[in-house]
Amino acid sequence: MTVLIGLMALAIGLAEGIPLGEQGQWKELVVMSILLSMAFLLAVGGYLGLLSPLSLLDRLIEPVGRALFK
Amino acid sequence: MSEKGIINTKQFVWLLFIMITAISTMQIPGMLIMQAGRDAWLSIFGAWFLDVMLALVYAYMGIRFPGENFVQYSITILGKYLGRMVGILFSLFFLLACTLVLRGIAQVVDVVFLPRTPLNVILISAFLVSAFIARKGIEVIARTTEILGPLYFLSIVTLSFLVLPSFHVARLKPQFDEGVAPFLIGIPLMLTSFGICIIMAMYIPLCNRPENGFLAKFNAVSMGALVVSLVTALSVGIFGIEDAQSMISPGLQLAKMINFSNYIERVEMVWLLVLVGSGIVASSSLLWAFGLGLAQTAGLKTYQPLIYPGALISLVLCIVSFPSNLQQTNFYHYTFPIVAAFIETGLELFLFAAALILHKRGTA
Repeated sequence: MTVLIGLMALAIGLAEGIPLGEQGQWKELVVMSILLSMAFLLAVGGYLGLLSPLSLLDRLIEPVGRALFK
Repeated sequence: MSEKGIINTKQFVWLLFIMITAISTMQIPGMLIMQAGRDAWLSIFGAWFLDVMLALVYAYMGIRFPGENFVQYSITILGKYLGRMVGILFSLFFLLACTLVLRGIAQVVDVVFLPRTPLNVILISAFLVSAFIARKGIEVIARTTEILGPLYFLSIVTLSFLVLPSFHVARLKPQFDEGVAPFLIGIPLMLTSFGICIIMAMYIPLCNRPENGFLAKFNAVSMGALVVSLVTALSVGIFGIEDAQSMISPGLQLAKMINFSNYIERVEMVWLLVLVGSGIVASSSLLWAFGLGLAQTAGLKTYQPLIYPGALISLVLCIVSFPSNLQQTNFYHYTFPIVAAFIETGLELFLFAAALILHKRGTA
């Protein structure tokens, strides 16, 4: 799945990035690349068994939620 | 501004209605029944009232800062750095909501209809369609909701009439049997689902009549509350509390009951079409809000290149954060309401108070 996510990130990067580069929209290209890198790093982190941001949030807040709700 | 689309008040109403129903009718009724028991339908009206009160704040802020959504007026009120941090929080919240909606849809489709299909295949398909719609812009999303919204509303009303013969009103009695505590705890759970309507602050600057923001929200949340309370009350009245609280999607189970002497049967497929359709449109709207919010925070000329990367992050979060359905349900039940309460109520009231104290107003 990680490889598939990497390929999808690459495909999106090429499809969106080339027109942005041609139009000189470098800022947009940088933000888009950061987002794609984040997606890929999250996938790699998941593959390596690291906690995702949502799992971390869950661990922090779930005990409060369990105390409030049934 | 990077979004040039314009919506009218009718589209505004259906956009919000689809958003509310997509979030609230799938998994929430079961959770609410677990929380509030037979008083669950009463909690919905409590949440409706509080949500309408909250809408007054959002509508007021929309008028106080004309032409600005909450990402933009966060920057106007709090300044360049703190305002951008708040703007990013709103955008990330939309991405989180999108993740949960699409994971919820995939779960229903996987468990009930396509048990042999890998969950990731359903998820990838759902994300591709959502991102495709979101990239087309708000006008396309709004037109889609104009078709899906009335269809959803009519299908719920028709469903209610068709299952009414099996409904036992005695199962909803007595009210407040265990005191008012279950009813009161059910209200915030429901309010955080209705509260996804904070997205109205992204729509107000694009509406051809921004002063109708409150009216649109009032109509949408009233219809949404009616739909959710119908599903909840019918589920309790037909299945009983014990069964209804453990159902993944009580509305789907209601649709499964419809059978008229072999002439009308398997109606749940129609329900599923509407459910999945509205869920995908709602998530495309959330992706659009994420992309637009992030683009405005970063000062970009266009938000469209951020839609597919945003969808990919959301997809990865679905896969790595919720490997099982139970984890997603627990997150939705125990963690999401607290995060949502902080963003939907806390952050907006903070901005409202800051605008009043600092005497900040929009310039347009």
